[in-house]
Amino acid sequence: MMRNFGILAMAGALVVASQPAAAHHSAAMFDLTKTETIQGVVKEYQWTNPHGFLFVTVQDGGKSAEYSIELTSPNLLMRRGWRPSSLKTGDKVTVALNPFRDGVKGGRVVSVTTPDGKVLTER
Amino acid sequence: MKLRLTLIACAAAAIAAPAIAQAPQATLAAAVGGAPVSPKSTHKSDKPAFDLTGVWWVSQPEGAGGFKPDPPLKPEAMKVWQDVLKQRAEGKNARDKTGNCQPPGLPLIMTRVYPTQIYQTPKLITMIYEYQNSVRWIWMDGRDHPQGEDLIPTYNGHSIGWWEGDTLVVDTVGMHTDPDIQPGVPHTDKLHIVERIKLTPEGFDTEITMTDPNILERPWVTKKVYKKSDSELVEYVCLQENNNFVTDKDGVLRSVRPSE
Repeated sequence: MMRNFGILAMAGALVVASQPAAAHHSAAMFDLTKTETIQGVVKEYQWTNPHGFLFVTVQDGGKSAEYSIELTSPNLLMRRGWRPSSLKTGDKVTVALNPFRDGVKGGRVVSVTTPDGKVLTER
Repeated sequence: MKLRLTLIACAAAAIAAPAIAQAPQATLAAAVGGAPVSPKSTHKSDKPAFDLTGVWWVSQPEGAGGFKPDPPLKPEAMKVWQDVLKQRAEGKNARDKTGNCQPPGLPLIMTRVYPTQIYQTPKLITMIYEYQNSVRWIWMDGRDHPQGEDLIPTYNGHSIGWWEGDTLVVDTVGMHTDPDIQPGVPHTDKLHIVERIKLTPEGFDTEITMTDPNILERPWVTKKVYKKSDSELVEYVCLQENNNFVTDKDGVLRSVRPSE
């Protein structure tokens, strides 16, 4: 990772957001002191181990941006009332999240409000 | 009385961490130095004081994923750990072994926010951890640990147990050196763990004393609180779908299989 970063810097093409995240899920990636709220449309809802994932498309001033939101595992989501059918592509949702520290759009889920007003949480 | 003293010590330690570790040593004299305890020679088991059969969740008011107070590390291990903490403070996934789907092993298996199912019989207590479908067999039949090369390094080690009045004592050695004992803290093959388990109105408490003369300055005494649960266990395999994060050309973070 550092090597790639160095090469990019030498080439004079330092693009901070394109730095790949190394591996999965230490909470160090997220700023747990901050909570952001986004509104958008579900692009994809992944019901997978070790973590579920939610991709949401957000419209902002004529531009659209995709947010990656990490959920916990299906085992724990199930116990909190989530199901594979809880969210589907095209659903308008409000998501509260602890943002990634490195500027990538998205973060770790705090809550998801579904179109029928149901609030899903995992903690 | 001894446990109460220890609990007070633990509570005090939460406020003044550097003062810990000395007080509870008396309760666990046998653990000092990392030498395995032989129940045959030193412990005659009392009658079982309680039955742990059921499902339990670890309660972690001090925060999930590790132990408090901080381990009393020798300088070399402290250097490794401080480096990890520094990198994590910068948002990096430093030495995140469980995060990379490695089974946590003992003792970190006790820090996961997943339930544990325990089956207790007179000669064997089996602990099944939902997290990574991990199992411990605690032999209650008076046997000793395997000696020498018969002791195969395993992530959860080899456990024997016996009863001391109202306390279940579990003694574990043979932990493989791959997993850490605290995220970012290594150990050696001298790691020795003694758990003293007592029933509480809500579940059970376990006082965990770790010794490893190569890593720890003195015994590291910590505690976990378990609460009874009506959960049913479900399989959990970490390395299933997506444990690697990459950022695509549009700057969107994706989770993919390691091989992709």
